[in-house]
Amino acid sequence: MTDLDRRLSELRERTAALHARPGFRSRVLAAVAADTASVFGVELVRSARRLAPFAIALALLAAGLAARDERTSSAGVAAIEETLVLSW
Amino acid sequence: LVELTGDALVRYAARLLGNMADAEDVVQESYVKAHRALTSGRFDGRASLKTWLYRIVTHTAIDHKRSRQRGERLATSDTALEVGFDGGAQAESYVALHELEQWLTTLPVEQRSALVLQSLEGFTNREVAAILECSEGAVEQRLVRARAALRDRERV
Repeated sequence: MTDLDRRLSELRERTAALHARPGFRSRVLAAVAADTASVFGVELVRSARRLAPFAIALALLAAGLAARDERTSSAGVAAIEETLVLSW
Repeated sequence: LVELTGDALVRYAARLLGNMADAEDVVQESYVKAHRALTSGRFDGRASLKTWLYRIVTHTAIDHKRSRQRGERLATSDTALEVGFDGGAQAESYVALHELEQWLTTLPVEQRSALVLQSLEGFTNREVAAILECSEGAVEQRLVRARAALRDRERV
């Protein structure tokens, strides 16, 4: 065994009792919980961004359909009114 | 998992970084990364859980050390003694950690991690290669260089 190995071995033994300080486990669990929450938030925003174009397209489609229905119903109302006027 | 592996990983990180406060920060960050990888299914099981955790801690510690060297954190090698003691055996360990830091401080982080894993943590060269994600030849080369640098330092 060389002097170098002896010194390494000695330092290995003398540092063997090192361990995490009290409260380390709870700090880790809190950090993991905080990370999980932030990852969830980021995922939520990312999903919302991904869905935004579909939502806009859906809204435009709904507005288009509503406008068409509006025209149809207006024409229907006008026809009824005409019929009523004629019958009067 | 933290209960089972926490002390060993903190001890390893402390031997790698030279102080307990940084070691705990690095291991905490590593657990967060590990949890994220486990929940997103990125742990493929090719390496053992132990090897994988040591790998994460090593990478995180190397990043931490490099960022500290770039001056992002104002820390000196004396920080090993800044942390509060919690008993006689711990006090002696802190002194030994300080000595270790003084001794290994000039080694490049790649050489230091190989030396710490093999000579202080007791891993085989193959296991060290798996943790450092390099070939066994590269590990041997790093160990030879590290030992030569330490011997040269002793001679000076």
